[in-house]
Amino acid sequence: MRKPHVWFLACAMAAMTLSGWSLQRANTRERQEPVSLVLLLPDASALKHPVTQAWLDAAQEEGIALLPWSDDTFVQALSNQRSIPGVILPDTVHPQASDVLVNALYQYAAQGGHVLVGFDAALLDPLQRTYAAPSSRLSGLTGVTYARYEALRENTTHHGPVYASAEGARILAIQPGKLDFDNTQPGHWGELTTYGYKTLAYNHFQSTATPDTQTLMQSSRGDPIVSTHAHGKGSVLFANLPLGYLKTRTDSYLLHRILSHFAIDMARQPVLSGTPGGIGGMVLNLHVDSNAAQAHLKTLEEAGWFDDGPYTIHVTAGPDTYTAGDRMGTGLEHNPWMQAFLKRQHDKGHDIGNHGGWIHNVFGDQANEHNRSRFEPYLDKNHQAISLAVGQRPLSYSAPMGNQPVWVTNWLERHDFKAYYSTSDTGLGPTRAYIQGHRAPEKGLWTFPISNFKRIATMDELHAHKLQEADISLFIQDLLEHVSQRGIARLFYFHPPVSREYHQAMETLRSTAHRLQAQGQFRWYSMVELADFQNKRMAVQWHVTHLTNHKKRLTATSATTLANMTWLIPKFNAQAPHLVDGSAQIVERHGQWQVVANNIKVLEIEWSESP
Amino acid sequence: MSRTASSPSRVIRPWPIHWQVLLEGFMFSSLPVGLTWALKPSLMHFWQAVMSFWAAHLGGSWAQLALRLDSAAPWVDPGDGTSMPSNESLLWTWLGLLVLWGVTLLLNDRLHPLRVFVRALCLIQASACLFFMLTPASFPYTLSRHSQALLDMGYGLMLATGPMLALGWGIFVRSVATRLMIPLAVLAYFALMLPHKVLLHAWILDKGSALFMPVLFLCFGSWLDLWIFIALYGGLASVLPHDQHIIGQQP
Repeated sequence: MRKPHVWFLACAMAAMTLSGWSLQRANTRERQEPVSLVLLLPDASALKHPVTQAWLDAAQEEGIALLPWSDDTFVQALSNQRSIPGVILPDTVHPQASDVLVNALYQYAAQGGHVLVGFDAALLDPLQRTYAAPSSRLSGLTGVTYARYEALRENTTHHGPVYASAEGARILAIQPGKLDFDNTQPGHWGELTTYGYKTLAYNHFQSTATPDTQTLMQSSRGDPIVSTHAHGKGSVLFANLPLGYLKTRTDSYLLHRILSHFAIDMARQPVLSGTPGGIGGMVLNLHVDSNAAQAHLKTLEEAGWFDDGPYTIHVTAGPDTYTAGDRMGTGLEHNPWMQAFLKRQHDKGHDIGNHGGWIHNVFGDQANEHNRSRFEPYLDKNHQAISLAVGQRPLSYSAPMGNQPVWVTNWLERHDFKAYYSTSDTGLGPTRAYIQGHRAPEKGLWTFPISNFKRIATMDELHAHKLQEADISLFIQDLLEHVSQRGIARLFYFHPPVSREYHQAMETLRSTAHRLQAQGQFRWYSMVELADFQNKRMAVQWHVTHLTNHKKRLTATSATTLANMTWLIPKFNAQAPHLVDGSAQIVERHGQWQVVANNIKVLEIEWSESP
Repeated sequence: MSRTASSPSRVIRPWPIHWQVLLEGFMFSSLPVGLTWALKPSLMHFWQAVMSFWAAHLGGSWAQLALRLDSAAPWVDPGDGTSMPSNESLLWTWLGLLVLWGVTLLLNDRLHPLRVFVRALCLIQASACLFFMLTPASFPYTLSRHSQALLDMGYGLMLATGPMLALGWGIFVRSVATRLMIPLAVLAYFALMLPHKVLLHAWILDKGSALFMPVLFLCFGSWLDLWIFIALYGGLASVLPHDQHIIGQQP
């Protein structure tokens, strides 16, 4: 009988030692682990999916800390009562989910957690890979009954435009110009628009909302597209659109807006502002296509336009414009006035760049994926002419007529460009491009989407869309006020020849900018300056940790400098965040604490979230 | 044929399959089967009422389970409060298993069956611990699914009870009233026992976590029902009169 006793004692001792060690380890880890929003992924392989990358990119560009977690990590964290500020179930990469995961989400929300549910997330049974229930198992959580495949079959989804209510637009901070309220949709609902498309149509589930669900966006048939719903002590945001997939197909706007609303307004997370010092502003991009611009540039310069800025001026430098030999181009190589003008503006700090390829309309109309060998020399010649004129290589680019084949983007990367204008992802700030469903390689090259005004982008197109100058003037004013208030940067472009015909709109642009600048809430950015800032911003490592007594600590480091990096921290009480390490200016702005770092490499701040 | 001391036990005595036996067996089977079948909606309603009763008196999220039971639904609302084990509960369970395994080392050889049973429990629970440590999110059962499965299987056993009694124990019984009433009493027992067993499971799972679902399902689910039925059958068979003849067999 002696042997069993020895075994028993050995087992008990080993178990107790193991238990003590593991408990100690678990407690220590919990105290030190960063707190951030969580992107739920079914497994490690989903991390490589372009849609996952799209969600992570969008979060990073919006300055939101978002960590990818496996379902298992989430379930374990929940059962260990770890603090999780918000959970996101992305579209496309997470169609399958076990009942246990779904159950965990219900529990998490009931206990006060915030959940963002994307389109087809958690619809399928992980074993049978079919719809797990007659309607989504998350219907009770989202307050929307959707994915009713058993009842609706081929009519489960619909394709059509989406609309936001005025209240929805305010809550989601949809920028001026994105919604068209002049339509036949009953009630005060504005149709979501983009540049160049008569109708922007999306796939979405036929769905119905419960009375306690707030619909922020809906389809023409009344299906909720974006809605919020309280569940227990928590809240749930449902996006009835494949947001991540859309970003990989150059339609990022809604993903960015919804993610930002979720992080800031619902989960109340600190964000790293997208602009230096958190000061909102505009990139004003002038496209000089032909010699028709010269007289107008002269007039604008005389009127003192170029004393403001910095602006981004892109020039097509060849001698022709519409066809080879028409002699209607700027002819920069033999145009002393234009050379001197560009040099003057460059010396003033304006960003001078390439507007495509030598002959504006020929390049714009004819360059495509298959004639790189014919048109690449156009890019080279333009690049060389601008470089010679200003004495420095251009670093920003815009495509004539918005035509940018993939090889042009590759050419920009090879020539160390930092930024280019884009007609995709309209309404967004600087972003990283997705080409044919995949993220472009990380080379520090930023896309600057245009800010669309309904279906147009600038004054030239007003007549074709039966719009008045007063309409775009109002849009410009609203847009500048919007970027100023939100502390974000957007791009607006125009061709100098419109300055005479649309004098009122131009004056609105200038006077609104002056007014907001005088209030210290606006500034002009050049593309290159903002791209440089974005690259520095992406290199900042920062995280938030949970301390005792509802206190949180933000730690940020940079290998170079944190200068002008700005964190916006939700205001929970009157007590301002205090510096633990480093130096920064801390001020209250629009109900948030704004922390602007000085020229330091490490910053630590703490704040209390007690009411 | 008179009973003598040398005659073989009725248990091992061969008996011819007689059409009358089969017919009566079928008839006595069909009543409890038909009744169980016909009363299924009422039975489900009754089980729900039992659970609602306890839900109202005991409170706790686990008791809310009662409100979600619906055997007609192809799926069950997963927001039923199934909790997953924390690191702490996993560690304590490991510790408990080690202690329990250690205790089996101390058991006398006369208690060998108990040792085997306890060790089997330990192994099942250890597998569950490993599963929940590695991949808890892929665990396929929630509290409501577990309960639903137990009730469904319990109902299946109730359907089988009638034929098993009629074609086994029943052929030794002459009294028609006994052959009718005893199966109904057994059914009534299961009808009352099953929801309470599920409630007990729900309580354990709520106070503990889904960590104990596998061992409850495998060892204290339908197996337990079956063993209870065997015990009841054994008890009924043991009280049969010794001079009982098989129906249809000539005395």
